[in-house]
Amino acid sequence: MMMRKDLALTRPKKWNSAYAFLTPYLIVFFTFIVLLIIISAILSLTYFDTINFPTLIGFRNFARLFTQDSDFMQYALPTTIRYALIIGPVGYLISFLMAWLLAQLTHKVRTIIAIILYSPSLTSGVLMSVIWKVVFSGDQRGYLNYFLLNLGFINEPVQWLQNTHFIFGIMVFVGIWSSMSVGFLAMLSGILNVNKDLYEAAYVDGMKSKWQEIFYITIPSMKPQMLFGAVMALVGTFNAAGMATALSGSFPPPQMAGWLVVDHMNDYGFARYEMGYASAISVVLLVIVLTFNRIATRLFGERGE
Amino acid sequence: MMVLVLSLGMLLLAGSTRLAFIHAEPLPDASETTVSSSYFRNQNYYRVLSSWQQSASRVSLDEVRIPLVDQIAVNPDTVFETDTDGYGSQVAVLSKGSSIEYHVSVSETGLYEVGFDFIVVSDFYTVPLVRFEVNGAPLFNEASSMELGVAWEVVPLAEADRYNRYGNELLPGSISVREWNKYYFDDYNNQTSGNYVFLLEAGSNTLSFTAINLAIKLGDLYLKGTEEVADYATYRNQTQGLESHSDGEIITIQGEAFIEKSDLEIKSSYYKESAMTPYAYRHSVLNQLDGSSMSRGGSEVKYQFTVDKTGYYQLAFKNLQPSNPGIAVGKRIMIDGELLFSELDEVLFPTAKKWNIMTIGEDEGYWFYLTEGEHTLSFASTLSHLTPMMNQLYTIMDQINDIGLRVQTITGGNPDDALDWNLLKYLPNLKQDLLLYADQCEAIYEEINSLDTGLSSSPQTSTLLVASKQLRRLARTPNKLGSRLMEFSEGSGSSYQLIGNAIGAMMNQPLSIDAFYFYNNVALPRPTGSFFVKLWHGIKAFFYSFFDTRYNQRDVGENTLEVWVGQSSLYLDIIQSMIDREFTRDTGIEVKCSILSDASKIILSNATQDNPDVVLSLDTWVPYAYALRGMLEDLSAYPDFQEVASHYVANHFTTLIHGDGVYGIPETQSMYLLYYRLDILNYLNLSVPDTWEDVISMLPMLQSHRMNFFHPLGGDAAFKGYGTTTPMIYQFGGEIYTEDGIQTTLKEPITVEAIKFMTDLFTIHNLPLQVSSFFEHFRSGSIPIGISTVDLFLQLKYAAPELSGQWGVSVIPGIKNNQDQVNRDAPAYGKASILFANSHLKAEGWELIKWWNQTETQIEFMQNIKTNLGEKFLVVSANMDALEASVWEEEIKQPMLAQAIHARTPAVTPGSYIVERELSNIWNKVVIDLMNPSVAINESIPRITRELNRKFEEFGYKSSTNPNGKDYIVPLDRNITRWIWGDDDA
Repeated sequence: MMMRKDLALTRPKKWNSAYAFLTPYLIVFFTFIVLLIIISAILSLTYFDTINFPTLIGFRNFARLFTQDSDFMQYALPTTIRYALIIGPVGYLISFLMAWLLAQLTHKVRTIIAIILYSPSLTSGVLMSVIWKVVFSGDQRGYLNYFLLNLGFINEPVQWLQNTHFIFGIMVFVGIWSSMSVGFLAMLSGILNVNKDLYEAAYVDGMKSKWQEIFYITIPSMKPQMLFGAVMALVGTFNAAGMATALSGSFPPPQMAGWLVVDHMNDYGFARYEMGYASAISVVLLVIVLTFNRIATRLFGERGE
Repeated sequence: MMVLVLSLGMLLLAGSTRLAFIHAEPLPDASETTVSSSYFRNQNYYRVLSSWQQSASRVSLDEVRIPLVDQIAVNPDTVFETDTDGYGSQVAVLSKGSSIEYHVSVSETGLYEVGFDFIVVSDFYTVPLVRFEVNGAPLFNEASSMELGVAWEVVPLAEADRYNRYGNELLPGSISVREWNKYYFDDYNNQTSGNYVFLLEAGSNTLSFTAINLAIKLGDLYLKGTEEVADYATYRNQTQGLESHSDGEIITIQGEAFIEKSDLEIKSSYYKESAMTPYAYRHSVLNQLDGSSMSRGGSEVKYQFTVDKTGYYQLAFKNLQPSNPGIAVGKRIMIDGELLFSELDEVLFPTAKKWNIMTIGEDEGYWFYLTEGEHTLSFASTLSHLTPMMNQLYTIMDQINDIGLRVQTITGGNPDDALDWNLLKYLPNLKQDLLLYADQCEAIYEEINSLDTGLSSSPQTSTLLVASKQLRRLARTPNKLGSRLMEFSEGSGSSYQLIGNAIGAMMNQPLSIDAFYFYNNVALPRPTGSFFVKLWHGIKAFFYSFFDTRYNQRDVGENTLEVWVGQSSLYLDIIQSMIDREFTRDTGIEVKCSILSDASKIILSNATQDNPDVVLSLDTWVPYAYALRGMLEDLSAYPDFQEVASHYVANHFTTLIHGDGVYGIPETQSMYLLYYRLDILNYLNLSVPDTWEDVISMLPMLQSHRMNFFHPLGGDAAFKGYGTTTPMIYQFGGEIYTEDGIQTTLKEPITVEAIKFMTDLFTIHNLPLQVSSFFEHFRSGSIPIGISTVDLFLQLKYAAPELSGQWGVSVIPGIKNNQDQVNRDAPAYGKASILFANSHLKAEGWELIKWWNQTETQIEFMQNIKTNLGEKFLVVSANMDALEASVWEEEIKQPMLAQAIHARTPAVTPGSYIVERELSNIWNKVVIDLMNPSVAINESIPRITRELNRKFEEFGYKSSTNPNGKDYIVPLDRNITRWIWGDDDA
């Protein structure tokens, strides 16, 4: 911020051209993000059945969300936080670990493996569950059941995707499998961009192991990428939706197992035609994500500037 | 070690006691040819005929006429008529299901052909079927349902109607040919050549005819011996040296120009290739006889052509056969309705991946003597060159199936590889049999190859080689068969199915024809265009595509009715052209149809007031949400609503009712049907269950063979919707909601009992909890009986040809009520038409909805689907009169009609989704978590009550939180007529 102010003072003409360059982005950002957030915030104060014109009802939606909606407080919110707290850190750590391991390889091998690791996050949730559905199918010919039956561990097929005790675990498993997304690529490039001189200098100064290399050189040198990865991981996990539905083939999933906030929002918006209420949920979700983002920034952000 | 041996012995013992329990009689030897599971196939004509030919011979008898008038006395119950459609003497009228007997006496025992005069009473859309019995029983399978030889005349469209709005040529119409026809029973599948023959004993015989699906009138009966058709050499000699003044002549007949067809599905189509006649690069024009549409044995088309000069002609076909490579296609060719010489009974066309011209006949080709004037040429698909091989393969399959079932009986279906069974003790010839089958498969493969000169190897039947390889591998360790049934008789890679796949390919005789030529001493045209001509047409077509109006959204005029259709573009083309050709012509209302890919588009368009006037084919549970929020027009307020509704089962409307109004007209319906494997039920000595009690009592036998019963609750998805959870509740006599809708009746004793019964099926009786594909399990025999929708019928018919004749369909099992009637109620969801309240063309919209759902239109729609797209794409009309007269095959139509009247669908109310969800949760809790049903229901009730109250209050209805609200009435089975027929007393 300081930098820019200095620039502005010394060379006022650059000011205008900077904004000219920014305009396209600002327009897009405003129309597709800011405007929608504002509309959603306004809608959250209304009763809107998606067909008739919305009517203003004040904060009744929020009151109901926190006082009467047991599905939200009992299932959606705790499951989402649990899911985010598992997938976020675990996925993040695995992403970093994989990125670091890949960085040790030669260029060609690295590119190929990076694509392989990255591709699960590209494949849409539906495709994922097509793969995993076959593996976890409750049919005796589902891969896992077939395998276990053959080995004699079980006597009859287990209903992996209908049993409420398994659904969340499978969801987490699939979530981790697909968690190596953009954040992972950013970290990979971050690691590769660390100045090699630093390592040499550190070895001269008496660094003894790879661990020290990671903690004293690699991580501090790639803080921006670490932050980006953390933010992406958080936003991704909080915005996850429909996984339990896709896996179990049930909307809502049996006994609300694996029911996430965004699922809850979709349910009210598109199945129950209560857009105002769904908007209220989205506002709450926005607040939650922003809070966790603050925490992430605290953890990984540049301090003192 | 000792323990292992002991336990093995015990297991063997257990196996053999189970064996004794199942078969009261000792097991027959496996090498015996009569196997119980293939009882049905053993009675087919081909096999029956072979056995007759060993004892009886064909008689030489000229046609004998047995007049109907002599039979009147012996048929006191039959209706006779003098109004005869021009027959002359009296005729018998056989309404659907009634029969007539002819008493005839013959002087010698032998094989006779049977013919008769008949006419179908009214216009028809399906082939009339007759059950023909000799002395009280059909002599072979086919005789229990004989297709009579009828035809549909192709009616060219008026010039103005010939092209659709995009300039593409439309298929011509077809009407049934209704005229007296002297018809000899012939092999309607063309699996054997010539007419059917029947074994009649010397002396008096009773021949009886029963009309199965259509009313027919019968006249006199004819008997004759088989006439031998002379061969070509004889024909050539007979026609040698006749008057001829034709030289250098060519008569071209276009393949698409047939005037009659034996099956509605036969059609012409467009092939894009510049040497086709006719050809246009801009639009599609009909220029070939579509080979795939007449690939079924017995399909026949008829052409008319004029010969200008009497003389000798050769016959050549410009044909294409790329889709069944390696299998020569057989066709029977008749001129003026007569088989001129025996070779024409089965003309083989080799595989042709490019258009080519083939002159029929060996070496110099056949010379036909044609006189000046009009002639006809009929062209029929025939399988007779493949039938012996197919029958041999069927025999192998039946034996494989039988051995598989026996092995399962012996091992109790235990697939454990570590157990050592001594199968050879029970099936001593197992090894030799397997090797024999392998040899036979290879020999048949070679034989099929040798018939087709177009290709050196036959990819379509190469599965036979794989099957034979597998059989040889299995033969190495025959005792291990029990754990390797997947390779043998079960599942998609088994030898059984591999052979079945080959048979499936052999049944198809596709041959596309651009044109055929009668010619003499003249060069025929080139079959394909030259490279440069093709290139030039390609360039033109490419540039034209930029100006093709089809893909440019045309503006919808002020007075054009805008219609969205929730169907794929295949159906849309048919719907739009039917509307253009009939509705717009008759009413003058312009209509523009577009595809509705996603129902949520309706909401979005409504937000901008951009919505269409009418939506067709929308899922029936969707409109309620729109009606509740005031988007839709109440159709019951229109004066002729009741006339429209009179064609439906009242319960079809349930989900479309809100308040006092009915907001849609059902278009299609779906229903559950029971599918069963005849061969397996027969083998296990089980009968088709009528009630759930019957189902439960057959389960121990099925499960002892590691088989099971499929209920849709055991489907793939964890969500058990109303479609699967409510049938049992309704069958027990329960309900889902109270009449005021604010409560659910789930905790009423009768409902609790129903839910308990439904969950017991899975927890106590061990029905499979998740079956990812019932079709595959059914096909492999691991689940030989179960409930599914009409789709399975089409799937089995087209994707599992190896099972043909081995399975059946009926209404679903039910629960017997106090009056001793079986209650089979189950939901019937489908698609519906709706009209928008904000449309400014409401009257026109209602006209369209009315026209679209009326009986004639729906019959024609199904007929058009069958002709344009094929049977695989048929829909099940909700209009019961249309369904009854539709082109659906009789064997599925009857169960459909019988089940449709049991339609009973839970209503949609504000918040009804919560009941559906909780019902699914109850199921999940009871079956997966093994909770007590009553406890599970009690847990759900508060959640349901809360949501229902909230939703009722939202819309101003009376609820516990809103006691002064409006009354709500839920449409139930007992009060539904109030909305549909306007009865106020209900």
